[in-house]
Amino acid sequence: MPSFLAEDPDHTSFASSFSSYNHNARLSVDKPTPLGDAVPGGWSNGSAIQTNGVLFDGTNGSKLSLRQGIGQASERSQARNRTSSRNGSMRSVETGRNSGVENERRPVNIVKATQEWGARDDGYFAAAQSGTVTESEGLTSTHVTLGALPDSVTGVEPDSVLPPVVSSVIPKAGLSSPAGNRTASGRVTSSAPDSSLRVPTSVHRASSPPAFSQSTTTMAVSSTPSPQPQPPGRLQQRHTLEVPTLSASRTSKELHLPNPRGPDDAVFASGRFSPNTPTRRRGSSTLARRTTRSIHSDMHLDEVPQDEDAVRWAEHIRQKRASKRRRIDGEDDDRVVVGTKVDQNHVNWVTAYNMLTGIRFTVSRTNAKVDRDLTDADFDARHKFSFDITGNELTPSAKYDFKFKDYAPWVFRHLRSNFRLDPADYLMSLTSKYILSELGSPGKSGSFFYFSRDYKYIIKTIHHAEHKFLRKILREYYNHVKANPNTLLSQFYGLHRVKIPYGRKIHFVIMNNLFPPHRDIHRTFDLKGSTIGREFKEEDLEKNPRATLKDLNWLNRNLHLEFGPTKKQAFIEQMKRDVALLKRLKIMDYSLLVGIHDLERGNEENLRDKTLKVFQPGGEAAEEPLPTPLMRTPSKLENARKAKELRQIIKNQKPIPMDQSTSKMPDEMEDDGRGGLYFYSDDGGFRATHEDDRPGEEIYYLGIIDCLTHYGFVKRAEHFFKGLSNPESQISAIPPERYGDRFVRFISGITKSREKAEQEKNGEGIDDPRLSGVNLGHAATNEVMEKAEKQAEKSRRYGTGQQEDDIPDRRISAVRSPSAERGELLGATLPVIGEAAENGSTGGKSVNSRNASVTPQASKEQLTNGPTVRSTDTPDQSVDEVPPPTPAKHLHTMPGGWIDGAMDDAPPPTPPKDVRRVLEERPPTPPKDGYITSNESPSTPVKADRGRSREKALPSPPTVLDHYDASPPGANPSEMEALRRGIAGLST
Amino acid sequence: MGGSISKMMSKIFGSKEMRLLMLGLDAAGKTTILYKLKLDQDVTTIPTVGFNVETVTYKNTKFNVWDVGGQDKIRPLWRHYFSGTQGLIFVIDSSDRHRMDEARSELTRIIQDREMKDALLLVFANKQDISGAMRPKDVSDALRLETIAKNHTWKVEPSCATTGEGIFEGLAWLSSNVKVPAR
Repeated sequence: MPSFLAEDPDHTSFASSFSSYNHNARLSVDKPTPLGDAVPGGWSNGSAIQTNGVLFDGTNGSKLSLRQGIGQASERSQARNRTSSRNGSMRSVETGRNSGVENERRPVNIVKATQEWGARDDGYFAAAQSGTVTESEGLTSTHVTLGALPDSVTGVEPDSVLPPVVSSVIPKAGLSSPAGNRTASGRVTSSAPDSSLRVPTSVHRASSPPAFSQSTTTMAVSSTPSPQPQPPGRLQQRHTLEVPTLSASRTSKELHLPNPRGPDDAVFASGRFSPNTPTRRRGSSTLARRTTRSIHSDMHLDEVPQDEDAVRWAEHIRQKRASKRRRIDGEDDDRVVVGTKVDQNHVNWVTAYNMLTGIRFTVSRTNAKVDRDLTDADFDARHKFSFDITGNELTPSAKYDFKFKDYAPWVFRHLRSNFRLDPADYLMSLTSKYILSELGSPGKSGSFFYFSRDYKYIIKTIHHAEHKFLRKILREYYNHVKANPNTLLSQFYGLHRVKIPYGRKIHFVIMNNLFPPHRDIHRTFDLKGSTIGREFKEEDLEKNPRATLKDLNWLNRNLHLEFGPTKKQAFIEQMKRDVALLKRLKIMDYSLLVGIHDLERGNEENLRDKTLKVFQPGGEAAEEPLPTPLMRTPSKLENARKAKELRQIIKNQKPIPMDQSTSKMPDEMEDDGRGGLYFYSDDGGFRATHEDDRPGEEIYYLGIIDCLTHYGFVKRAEHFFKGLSNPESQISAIPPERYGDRFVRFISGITKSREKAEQEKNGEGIDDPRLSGVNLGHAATNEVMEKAEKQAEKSRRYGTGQQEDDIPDRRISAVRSPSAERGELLGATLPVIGEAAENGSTGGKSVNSRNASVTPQASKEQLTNGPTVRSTDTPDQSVDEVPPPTPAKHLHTMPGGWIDGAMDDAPPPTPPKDVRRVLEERPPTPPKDGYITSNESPSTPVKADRGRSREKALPSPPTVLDHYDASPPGANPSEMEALRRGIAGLST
Repeated sequence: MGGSISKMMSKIFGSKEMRLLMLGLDAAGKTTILYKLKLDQDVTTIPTVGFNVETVTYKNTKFNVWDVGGQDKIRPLWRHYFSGTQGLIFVIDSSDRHRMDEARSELTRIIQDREMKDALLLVFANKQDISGAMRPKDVSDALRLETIAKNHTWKVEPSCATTGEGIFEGLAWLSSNVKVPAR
């Protein structure tokens, strides 16, 4: 009955109207008292009304059942309406009486209702929370035992059990207003025995012909008074009422479903319940709370939105199971949980608020001054401010007390202007109105991310060590930015610290958000150039399609940064310069963040609206000023009160999914002044281009992020330990020099226009750009190539594992080829390799059969192309100077093409490489380089293994991933291990 | 003995602290006024993106003056400085007749804010040295102060920031009209 759920407002109205109900109930009770029988009946009616939720259900249920019998669906809704409105309540009382007349029918009706409702129950359950469910169960049980009240009671709840009839009444009373209810309940209890007695009678009477009564009731709603007349009916009603309560379990279930649930929930949520009443409901109440809680937690924990439902359901089920237990230890437990949650929430919100306030203040303060040149002192400058509610001579008043520290304000001011930020824009987007929080896991670092209102900026909390490090390198960073305005490095706009009283110090930076506010990012990658642990599980991807993918995913998808020659050169040049700085500063573990916007898909999916949530803190929103004006000189008490109010406001404030709020992400790019920065000039990003520099179909939003990890003790240790189990080339914690080299090589390797990639894939240099993106049916060759590639890779891997020290040089050579590719139109040479890689990733299905064919092609191409490539390569990559050895890390990372490319490049200097390849597939030819030999020797044995593994893989047609994964780790772990060890031994 | 008592008395009743917020459209002369107050100099200013704050003591009253930039883009930030403000100084470029409506709507918005409901309102009809500048009466009419500020104590003071004329008079008015905050 989803409609019921939708009725929340009604429920609330119920709650509000409860008191009135109670009065009615009392009145009715009073009136009837003299009558004895009549009294209980009246009572029951009243109670029914009050309970709207429970009893009502009973009543309603009875009504409903009647109606149902009649087949009047509309009546139910009417009944609800009645209950909801006070007038309605009056009527309902009357109706209840009426129904009481019909009470005799009730039992029958109830049964019917149960049945009918039962049919609906499923729907209801789905919609309803567990709490209601439990109730329903109780109801059912009671229902069964209608005659035997105690049993039912026990089934439901101890409290309710005591006076079964009473119990039913009580909850209702509790709902309405404790005192009044209690009194009422007391009376009820007195009446209870009667009612109980009557209940059965009513049951007997149950064979009700209710149609009239129902109709009367419904009709009565409008013409309330008329129906009252039948006292016996009341008694029966009472029973019904009570019965529902007692039996409430069952009937109420059905009944509840429609009307009562809502009100009950609301009441519970409000926490007004006395311990007695709530037990049943608790379930529901807890649910309600939990849901809210989960929302909050989502905000902070950055869970993925999709999971929310799942979480809620899991919670629901768990609750169902634990409902009994919960009833017993009940409230306390609940409250604590809720309390902590809210507290957490609160703390986080305050932190964010303080951050924004502090930023606004410090930035405003610095920006108002006349600009001047930096001095040495500016790099070390720090200013501390303390904010409080009154404000002082230096600081404006803030809602909370906190301390704020601003570091090197002048340097960051200059940095901002270097990055072409308009100071006013910066201020406004960071500190006016609200901030965003993205649902998504906080990074491994555990940092918190907040987004500015317009999604342009990120506020990221950083560790103290990072903070110190940033301050240390600030000067170098500044100089670098000065010299390289188009840097790909994270752009730091501010460094601050916030501390709330008795809280810890939180350091944070403000950076550019690489991703645009006006474009959906369809895929996100975080590329480091290492492969160990650099894969996001594809299975998980389904659960969280927005996840950030990693190197292996990139390779498996056979993706490239599709830049034509011009952009490619600019991009790689800049990247090299940036990495050079990072190397010099002994920084590692950074990565290239790539967000891909597919122009063809555009913004249709509205990803941003779904993944972003809005906080609109009351304190920050001009639209809703706080109810109480600030005191001039608040005392401590006043402060406390104020804080309490604020807390309340905050507590009530839930983040709203973006698409439900009025504020929308823009679909147009506003000019944010970044237009001048080369890599952010195409709609805030860097658009793919074809080989002829025509604009491509994707826009990349990329930059080097996480560049505050100093290769210090911790990382050294990590390097040591990870190095024990993995080939060094593939772990991410390696010394900065090598990290940087590997990074550059990797990124260079995957940077090629689509045409290039295609060419390489096809192995035959196809220059026609129009062919790009079209698979020409070289599938077979591709597959072959794939296999070859894989083998090559594996062998290389092993090779790499061996010689870590030598790697740099070799890598360089390997890298070259890709660079050569970039370089210019030499595509033909490299392509072969590219193909293999790509094929391997995408298509490779049958590797074995084709190996033979593959080898020849590859070798051929390599040979032919080799020389040319080389010439091209040299200019681009200075790093690549070492010709000989290819393989090491790159090879690992790159399944496909560019290893080949490396190979191709090799030809002049390293004919052996080709040979090597060939060798891999064939029986090893004598290696020319020692290096090569080493590789080969291990590789040969491997081959067999590989073959097997492939075969295994073959049957299940391949997602690229499968192949890739399967072959390397999957094949024969033990064998692989052995091989690796052997290799390692060789290398050492 | 008597001296110390009177000192104490003056400490309690005599010296006041007053938090003033100075707003107005861009280029109205806010920053110039501030530094005229503070330094008694005619300084060259740049458009203020953000705020300047200075403390000036005048006639036993310590004025904590916040001068917040008036570019239209950052006017939404004004409200962050409202709370705790006892006096609003709204600066008008009296020679800029075209923007009086704009000034009026901004002023209206400010003084209707809850946080500002008890604040005194001092309007500086600035740039009186420019020929053709509106007279204070014209300014108050143009701003319709009778209407929009009917719940406030207000005054229009003609001023010239570069010469300092009128500025201290304005402050004196503020300090004499401020209600001593209840302790």
